[in-house]
Amino acid sequence: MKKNINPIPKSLRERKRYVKLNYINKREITKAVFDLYGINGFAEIGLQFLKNNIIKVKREKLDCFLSAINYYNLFNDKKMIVEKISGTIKSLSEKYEK
Amino acid sequence: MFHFDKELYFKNVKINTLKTTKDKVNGISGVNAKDINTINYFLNKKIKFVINPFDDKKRYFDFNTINVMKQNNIYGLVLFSELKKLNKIQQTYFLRNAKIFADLCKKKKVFVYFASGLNKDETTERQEKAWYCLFGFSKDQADVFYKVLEEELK
Repeated sequence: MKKNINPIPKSLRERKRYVKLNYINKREITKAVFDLYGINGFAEIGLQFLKNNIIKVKREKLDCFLSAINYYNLFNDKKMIVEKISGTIKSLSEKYEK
Repeated sequence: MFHFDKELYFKNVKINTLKTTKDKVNGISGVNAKDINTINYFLNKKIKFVINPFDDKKRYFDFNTINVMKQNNIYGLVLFSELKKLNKIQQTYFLRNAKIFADLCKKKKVFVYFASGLNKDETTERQEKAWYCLFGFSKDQADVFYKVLEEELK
């Protein structure tokens, strides 16, 4: 196995949050973030679309992302609602739901 | 004459707003007028909220109005449901005017509340609080605003 010689320690890495929604529309979410925060804001949020309607965002910019979802809900009949937010993907899976 | 707007929701509760009037009316929660004179007229009439005192073109408030709001314990309120009617370019001007209103109220220490005009099924409490992020408020400040206004609405 090839090991990374000088990895970034865990304390210095970026903090992230995983958000689970009832459904996802990729194009509309990116549009909403662009409209509210512009290119610079879009880069700072650091969106990443994962499987099972899960999205990865930076921890500091979580509220920006949530406001963008609410902005999307104003103009569309089918609403997106946040089901759960956590720091790991494992806790979002169905096994750990209560 | 007065006119009630039924489309506005605030904290998942319908609110009666007043747009233009010259007579005394009791039991009104907020004013949604687009004139300086009508807003200033209702500031001494036991109102709780001043709703969206701006437009995509102009601003209908002044230093004097915000000073009177502080004396009479009146809150500012920004409802984003008005964004539906506007163009994409007009939306930017609307948000810019909203930020000027929020900053002035912040300077004078008047409470401002932000909300989308959506029903209870369509949003969550956390999504509603996230609007404060747009205007530079922190998460702790949003919780304080939310608690204070919950008590007032009761």
